[in-house]
Amino acid sequence: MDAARDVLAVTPALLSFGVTLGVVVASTTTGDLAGWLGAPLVYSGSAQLAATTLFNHGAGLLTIVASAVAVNARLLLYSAALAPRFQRQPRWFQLIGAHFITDQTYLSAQARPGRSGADFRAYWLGVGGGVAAVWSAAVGLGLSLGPHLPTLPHLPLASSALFLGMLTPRLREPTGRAAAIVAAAVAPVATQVVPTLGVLAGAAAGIGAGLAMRKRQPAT
Amino acid sequence: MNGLAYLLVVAVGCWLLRLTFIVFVPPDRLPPRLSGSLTHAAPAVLAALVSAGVVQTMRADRPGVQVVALGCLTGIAAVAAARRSLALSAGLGLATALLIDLLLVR
Repeated sequence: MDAARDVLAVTPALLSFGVTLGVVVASTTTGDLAGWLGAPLVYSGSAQLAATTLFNHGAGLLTIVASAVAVNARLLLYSAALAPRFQRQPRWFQLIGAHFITDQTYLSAQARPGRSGADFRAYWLGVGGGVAAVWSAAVGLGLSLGPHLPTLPHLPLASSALFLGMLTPRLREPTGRAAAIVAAAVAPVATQVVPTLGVLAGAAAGIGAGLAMRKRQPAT
Repeated sequence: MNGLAYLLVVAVGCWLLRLTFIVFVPPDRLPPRLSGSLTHAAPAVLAALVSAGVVQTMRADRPGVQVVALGCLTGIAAVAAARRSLALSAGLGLATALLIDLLLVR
């Protein structure tokens, strides 16, 4: 019951993001089947959007995977935070359940700290499966709506808006701001030189700037 | 390699990322330097995707259209910072694309 309630709470955000992602994917060369299967398999809108955008721009496999993984780097932190609740679970659950780690499921589970053992398994699979179902339906809806829309050369701006929505909460720290500013400045310039590596070059420069600024900050 | 194959590789990469501290490494082994890089990776990649994408999309536009698009994106960033709603960002982004393509460019 708690799992259903938690899935319902995140459904509006999942629907709008998923439909927009589906419409964007429908306008690319990725393919509808790949776009739809990607929803439950990648199980991360930001990673799928990054991978789709870069694939459409002709980027190589390494750039696509590195960018998608980097966008999802926070999953490592979620993985570390959820590890104690997964540690005494059967191996099958660790392998399958880990796939459902994402922003919504992590935050939902953190709000229910009392659940452990079989109780946690049932809750986690319910939330993860429910989010996957809503997410896949939303992306599928966007994919079927996309071809009926008129030609929209500026549709990639919808992706940029989504990325902005994910970026702004990460700009609270000065180091995060430095990383973003340097990355935003370097990426378009690098894209002019090597189109398929622009995003990766920008991201690397941004991470370097963030680390350099962190070193200069006095220890607290 | 087609789109599905690329997404499958990305899916495996994301799954391995999720498994890291559940199956492979005890969570207390996360080196501080790595956790520092993780903090900066997301804003850096997202900002790079935004700026490269915006420049690429608007390269051929008239200056007036570019100003409107940049104004809309600035507004979306402000709304996203204030409301923290991905749903709102998605809706406003779609509205911006429709506004430019259906009203300004045609």
